[in-house]
Amino acid sequence: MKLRTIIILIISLTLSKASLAQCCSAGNPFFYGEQATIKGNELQVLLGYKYSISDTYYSKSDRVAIDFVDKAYFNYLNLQFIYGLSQRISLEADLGYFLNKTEDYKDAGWQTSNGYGLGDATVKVRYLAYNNFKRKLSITPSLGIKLPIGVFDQETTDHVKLPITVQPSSGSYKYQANIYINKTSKNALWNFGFYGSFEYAQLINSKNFYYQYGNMYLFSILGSYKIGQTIYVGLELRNENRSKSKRENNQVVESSGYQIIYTIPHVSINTKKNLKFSFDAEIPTYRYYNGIQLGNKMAISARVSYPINFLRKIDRKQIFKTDDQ
Amino acid sequence: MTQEIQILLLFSGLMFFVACEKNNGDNPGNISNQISIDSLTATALTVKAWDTTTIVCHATGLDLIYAWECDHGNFNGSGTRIKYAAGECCVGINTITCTISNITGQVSKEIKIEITSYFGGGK
Repeated sequence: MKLRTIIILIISLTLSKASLAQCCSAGNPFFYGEQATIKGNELQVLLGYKYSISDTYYSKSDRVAIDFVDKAYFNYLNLQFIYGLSQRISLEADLGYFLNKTEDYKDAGWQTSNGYGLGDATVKVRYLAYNNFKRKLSITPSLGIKLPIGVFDQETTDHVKLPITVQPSSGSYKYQANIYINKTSKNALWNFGFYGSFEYAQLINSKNFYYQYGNMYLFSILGSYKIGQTIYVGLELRNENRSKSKRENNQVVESSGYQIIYTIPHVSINTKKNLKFSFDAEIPTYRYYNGIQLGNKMAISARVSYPINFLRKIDRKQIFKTDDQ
Repeated sequence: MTQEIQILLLFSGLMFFVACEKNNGDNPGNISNQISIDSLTATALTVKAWDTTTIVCHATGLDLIYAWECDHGNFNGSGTRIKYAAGECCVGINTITCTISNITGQVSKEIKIEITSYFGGGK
């Protein structure tokens, strides 16, 4: 019964706004960690918040003085459900909501562009392909799809369409293939991970937009250390590459695509009640933009996660029943 | 295990179903013959990236609502006159659409604005 509830929850989360599917911008931001497969019959519920700001134009790795966007920033909420179908397979559903996605302009005569609303949803299947308990090594490939179920073609109250950069949804389906390799030290104090991801974006072909984002390749090395019983500190080095976009008539958008290396310090705290709080900051330490693009300055995020183990709950109920008898 | 396979198949089917869904939400609305756009003009039809051109819509009809859309770039303003600018991301020929509407229906007209590179040398 519980399992059915979870499946219905995941399905309804995925389909709830599917009929409103429209297109939009670069989509939901990336969150740290939570790549490993969880235990069978365990549901993990995660609520995340992210703030990001961009205020400088770059050409290649150099700053360029462009008098247009003063700063672009967003406040974003993310709700994620991960369910361990078995010890090897887990399902993930993920939904994003932009509280705001805003562009302020340097020219005082230009009005601020402000988008908000439901972003993309992601559904993903993870498979624990290799797990060696002795060596504490696991390999988990996963396949996912991002669904543009959110708000696209959003306009102001004066009927003026907002730019694609502040539209909450990405406007097209995106397909992902990922792999996560995890290694824990013998004393279980150190944890290391490698995460690789490939994303292919489908063509946006709506009334207003004909655009295809370039493929994205993401490689990440993660390390964390356990301090005491409840605190983990970690560091991630993430290399994010996106190839150039295309528009009408197969025209390549020269000022698109980039390579960025982020340094991401990370802290997580486990409480006695199984709540886990995570905090991290994304700091670009190397960047190379094709043409001229507005570059990300930094992002900070916070997350809280809570695991619910159904087997344990069922066991307890059975125990109580036995006791009553 | 059988249950797991069933759920996995259901999940995969769901992913396939939503992936194949088509976006057919572009409903043009009723075309009115009681309102018309007489002209849609711009102060410059070719502008450099991040420079501005002003687009003006002259229309005939009662209680008109003006709506503006573009495939690339940013607007500032509303109503009959709007400013348009686009960055280096949007180099090429961009389409700006003005739609007027009232209770009788709606009418649209397009204008093409070419954005040239900030570095010079056109596209």
